Amino acid sequence: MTPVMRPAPSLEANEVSKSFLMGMVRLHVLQQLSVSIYPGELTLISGPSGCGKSTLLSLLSGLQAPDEGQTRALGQELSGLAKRALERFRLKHTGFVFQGFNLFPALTATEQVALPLGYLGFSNKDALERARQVLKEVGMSHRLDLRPASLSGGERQRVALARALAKRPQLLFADEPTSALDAENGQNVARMLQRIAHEQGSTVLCVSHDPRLTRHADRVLEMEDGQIQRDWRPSERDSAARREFA
Amino acid sequence: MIALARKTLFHEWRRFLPAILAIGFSGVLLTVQAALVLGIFGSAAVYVSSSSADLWAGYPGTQSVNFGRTISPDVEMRLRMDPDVTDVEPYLWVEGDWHGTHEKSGGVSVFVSGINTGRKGMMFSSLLSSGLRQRLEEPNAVIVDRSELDQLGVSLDQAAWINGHRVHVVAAIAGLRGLGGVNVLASLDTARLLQGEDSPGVGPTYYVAKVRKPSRVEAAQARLIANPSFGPFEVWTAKQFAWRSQLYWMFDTGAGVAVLFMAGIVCLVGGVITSQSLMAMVAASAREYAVLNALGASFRSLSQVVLEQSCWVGGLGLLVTGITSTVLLSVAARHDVPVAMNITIAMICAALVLGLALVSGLIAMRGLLRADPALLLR
Ligand SMILES: Nc1ncnc2c1ncn2[C@@H]1O[C@H](COP(=O)(O)OP(=O)(O)OP(=O)(O)O)[C@@H](O)[C@H]1O
Ligand SMILES: [Mg+2]
Repeated sequence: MTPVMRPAPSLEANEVSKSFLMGMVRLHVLQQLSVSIYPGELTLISGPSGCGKSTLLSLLSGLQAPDEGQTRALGQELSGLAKRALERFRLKHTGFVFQGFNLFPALTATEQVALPLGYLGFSNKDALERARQVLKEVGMSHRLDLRPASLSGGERQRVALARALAKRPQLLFADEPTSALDAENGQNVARMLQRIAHEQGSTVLCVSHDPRLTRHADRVLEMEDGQIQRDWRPSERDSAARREFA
Repeated sequence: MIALARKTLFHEWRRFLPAILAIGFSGVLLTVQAALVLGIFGSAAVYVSSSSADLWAGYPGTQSVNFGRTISPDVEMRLRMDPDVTDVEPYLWVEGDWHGTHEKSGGVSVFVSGINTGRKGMMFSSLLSSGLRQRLEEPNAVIVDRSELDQLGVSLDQAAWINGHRVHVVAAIAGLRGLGGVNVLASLDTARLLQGEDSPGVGPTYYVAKVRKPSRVEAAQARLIANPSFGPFEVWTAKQFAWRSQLYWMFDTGAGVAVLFMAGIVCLVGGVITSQSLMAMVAASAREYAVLNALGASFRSLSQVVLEQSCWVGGLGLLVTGITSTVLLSVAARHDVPVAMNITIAMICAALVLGLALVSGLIAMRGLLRADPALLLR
């Protein structure tokens, strides 16, 4: 088998540890974990509940600092940055999709998506135009002027996705983006995430324990008890399986 | 920028209503209280504010109109010598003991104002028509406030006694109510008669003067400094003297301190309610704010949203204050409740209302501490 040439990793964790104090007990969630994530692909972190998936995501995205070890994103050390500098880094480079939809009840779909662009210095006109365009990409052009209260769950998640995508981030983090969706909507969102990685060369890191999503992932990291147990690529397994079959 | 603060406020106005009403009613309490104070203590200066005189010359250091002491008649000369002074007239203040005709009425202490009854007289010019002035020229004629007839134990056109002299009530008018005693208007001659034997001197209590142009008043006052050859006197502008009299009464009676204390409590209660309901609003949207922060909106820009919201709450609260106070005060005025308002005090009340909203917003910003994006990842 020929070794595949990969670009430099866009996200790196180097022996990171994270623990939480729960009452009198210290809970070690991650211990000396190292991992590299690459651009242009959808990387899926899966594993049982409570194994530390979301915690790893928050370290790699700079929302939390590790107790020990270093995290790097786009070649920049995150662990040493001050709060304000981290905010600026996230503003420029990262998009997030969280488990809940977390949409402002007062804003229409277009406004939800345009709002974060304002902080990047977009004019109102440009922001709204970009918002409409991105909503079209996620198949929401027929719901531009509706507020969250009149959207279905799947539609809300697509608005949340569009909000994360609007600034064309190099890094996209998603934590259980499909947990509130039915099978079909879940597949749709997963397909969109993969398309963004492939078409825009973004780094997409997605946490999910939904096994159906592995189909759309380029790489799967299986976690257990704060460790990465398996690191595999569905396409390679498929081709290996096919070779075996032949 | 998408106007998040405004859109949220108008979309969820029901949840902002408590804050708006808390601000609004704090404002109403402040305004009505101020109006009552102005109304009640304004009557301490009714002599000044209902007269057209620009300058008042009286005994040096006089704290309030009712504490006037006799000054030398030469002061009139000094005033007339000033190039900007166009008219001067004496004003005589006499304290007296009133006995009405009704059986049960005991002695009532009254303040007799002896005034120029000429057509161009300055004293009480806004209360007295020239017809009423003329009637005061009859010997022993007096005019009182119509709401005080009962207290004086007298009816219109009846006789009464002041310091043992018989007087005749020729008219009863509105707007003459004073503080600390009942005001009685009389001609200078009648007043001198009532002053009686124990008169403290030959001169009047004040000289009031008219100045050519309102813009010259201060300059004229500055020129009219005491001069030993005219005896002791001091000159105030009408505005200064009115304010001086009101302040004296406000703080001498302790009412001023009580009012400030009440205003403090009103602001405190209003601020607590407003900041709590704003904080609840912020906390309710904490997850959405956290997403914005995750996407890079700084804590500072999120704080601005909260502050903008509190400005809206302040503005709408001010509207509530304005409308409610106007209605309340006009109803009160129609029922002879002593209320008054002026631009300065209205502006101070408005500033307090807005300040209260802003401070509440600053306190509510603490709710943003819950908007930690790491909490969204579990
Ligand atoms: N801020 C915190 N304080 C205390 N304990 C925490 C905190 N964050 C995470 N934990 C604990 O760390 C462990 C791992 O949490 P994490 O959210 O990473 O799990 P997860 O793999 O995402 O699980 P799930 O699939 O249920 O979302 C959990 O046991 C959790 O209780
Ligand atoms: Mg999780």
